[in-house]
Amino acid sequence: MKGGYSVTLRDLRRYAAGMLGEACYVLVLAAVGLAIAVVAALLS
Amino acid sequence: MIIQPRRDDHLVIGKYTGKVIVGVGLLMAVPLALSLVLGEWSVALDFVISSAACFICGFGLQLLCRTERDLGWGHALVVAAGSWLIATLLGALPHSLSGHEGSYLDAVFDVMSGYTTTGLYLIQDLDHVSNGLNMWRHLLTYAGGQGIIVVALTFLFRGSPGAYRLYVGEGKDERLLPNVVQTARAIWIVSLGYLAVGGLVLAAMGWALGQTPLRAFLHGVWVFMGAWSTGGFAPQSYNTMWFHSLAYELVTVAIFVAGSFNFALHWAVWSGNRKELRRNLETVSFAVTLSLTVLVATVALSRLGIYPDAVNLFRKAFYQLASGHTTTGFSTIYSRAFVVQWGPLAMLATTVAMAIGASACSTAGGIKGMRVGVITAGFVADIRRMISPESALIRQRVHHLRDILVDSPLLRSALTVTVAYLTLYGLVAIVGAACGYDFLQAAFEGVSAASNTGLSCGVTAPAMPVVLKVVYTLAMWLGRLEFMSVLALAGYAYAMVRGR
Amino acid sequence: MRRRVLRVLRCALLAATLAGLVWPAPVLAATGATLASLGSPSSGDLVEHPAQWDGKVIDFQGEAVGEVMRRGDSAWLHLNDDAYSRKAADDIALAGYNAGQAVWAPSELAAQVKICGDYSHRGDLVHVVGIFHAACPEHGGDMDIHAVKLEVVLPGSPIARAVSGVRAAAAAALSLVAAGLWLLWRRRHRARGRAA
Ligand SMILES: [Zn+2]
Repeated sequence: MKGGYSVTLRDLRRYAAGMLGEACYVLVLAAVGLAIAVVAALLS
Repeated sequence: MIIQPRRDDHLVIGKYTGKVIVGVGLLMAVPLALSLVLGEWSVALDFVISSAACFICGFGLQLLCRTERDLGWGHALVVAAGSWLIATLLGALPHSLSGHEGSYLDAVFDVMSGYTTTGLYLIQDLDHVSNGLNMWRHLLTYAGGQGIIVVALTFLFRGSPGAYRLYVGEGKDERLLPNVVQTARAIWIVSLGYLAVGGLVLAAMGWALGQTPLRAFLHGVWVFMGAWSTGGFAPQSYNTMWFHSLAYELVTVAIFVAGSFNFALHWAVWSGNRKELRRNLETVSFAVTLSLTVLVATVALSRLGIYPDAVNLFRKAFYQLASGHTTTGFSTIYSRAFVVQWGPLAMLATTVAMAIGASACSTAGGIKGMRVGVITAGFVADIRRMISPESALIRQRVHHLRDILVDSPLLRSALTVTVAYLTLYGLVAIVGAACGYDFLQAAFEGVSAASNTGLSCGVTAPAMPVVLKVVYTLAMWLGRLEFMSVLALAGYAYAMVRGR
Repeated sequence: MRRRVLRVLRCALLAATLAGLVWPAPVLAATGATLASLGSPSSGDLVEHPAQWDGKVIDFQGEAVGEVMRRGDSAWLHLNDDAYSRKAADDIALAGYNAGQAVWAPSELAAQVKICGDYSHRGDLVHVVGIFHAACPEHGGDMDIHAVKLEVVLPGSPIARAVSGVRAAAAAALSLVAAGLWLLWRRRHRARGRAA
């Protein structure tokens, strides 16, 4: 988007890739949370 | 000497406040249309009344205040805080007319909670609320998440220096693109992109989980709006426990974590700079503090043995903590369960998570990861200086889109705002305790309000003292606008009375 | 080299997450509980004293709200036992927050519930007998009641929502004023645009 209103197909592909990257970040956070829960459950 | 504002100042402020209020009136077209489509006639009438009231105030103010002056910094701050206040008073009309609020104050509390993406509510009999009003509740939290000024900027303003000052007045300070109106549009591209994808995914899941297509669609859109804006409103009183689904919970986590990102980070990642996700000060700081608070809460919960296995422990601890840390306020446990089942240590971990909050220039509230990161970096630099030879030059940097040198001015501003937040948290907690609530519960609820989170441990209720309702409303307003604008408005009011 | 190790680690982490997520939660063995109910606590009692009622067979009654969500041969429903659930259909006066419990019931039992409470309906008043879980291991730690008996005590009905004449008049009047102001504003705006 360079000042205009139009969003091209290429832009959309970049946006989708960005969204996917952000989802991966969340997945990593969830993995850490799950790992903590597993260890805590094993120890108790 | 305090200078009394002149007529010209009033005119500028009135004109721009009027513009923002027209924006609020336009926003009401969405729930109005929905209630017409679904045949909720009396609800539609309420929205006609409310939006007409907004237009009368908005156009009336603009007609009364005719001036060609652009906004100065002081004006912009006053407009930002003032238009949030007036938008709240007018936005509460549909709530109040619906008959679901105990008083107009309750309605104002709910709308302030919506705009500031907090999520605490006083609305009664939520499970029998109309679809139109539910759309309004969630739409105003969605609009508030982007910033109602951003909404107005996108549609009603041409880019002037004053427009940028307004944008900053709302607690946002990043220019994603050189022009502020373009920045506002970029924010909308990200938000609408997520709305399309997230809303559809949630709707499809709701359908698969046994909802009718219409309800699945509406719930999908509303839960998306509650999640993305880190607001925490949901269409049923059971909040997100309604769905009883791990997959649904995970998708909401993904949406509210994404919603808690800095819009500048989104824009960098969406422009192809995906490395930024790993290197950014705020994502790193968030990951560290979230993991630590999850660790404390998980250990506390596993010692109490409430949740029988690892997956349950994960689903409860991680969900509430992530929701608290991103200042969302979605919850898959009953409010009172924090007190009855979770106990003091897990509650404390949640309170700390809420107090820190997520990213600057996002939909989230709280102290913000940026400040926590900068203060930590400053602390590390001091330690490094202490153990290095005197001649060594220590330069501590943090990474946010580019490397930034941690110098005294940066540290000072981070510390000032952090102290302001901590003071606000403390004051609100004290008021809660003074009203007779247990201190830990008062602190939990107070931090939740002031950090715009919205998790509740049961203090917030229609029957709570009026003082507390007012204090929470003010705390939400102060916390969301990061003090400056509200203080500028207070200064303006003071100068009007006492200035010369 | 280091990068490859990192990538392998990352993949392993992701795989572990996914595996963890699809790991079947241990299903509660049929407890063979007798149907002798140990009491009929309110949802407030259950939320305030979960440990006291955990695993016990209880009676519970409330208004079905929202919808019945079918999941295979069982279904979720939500029963509100708040003040609203005891009201007549046309009484919509305020009585505080909603309160209730989630109920997991066999589909054929849940199918008896025809009307769920929402804006235009008072839902069926439903009575269940079932086992209360403070943190159900089968359902991710949610607080719920697994029903073994379910009956509709009082069928629901539509709520009449009349359009108020006063409000219609107010809406018309305010809209007229708003439209007038808008026209005035537009004319001033245009005039200024031409002058500039
Ligand atoms: Zn269960």
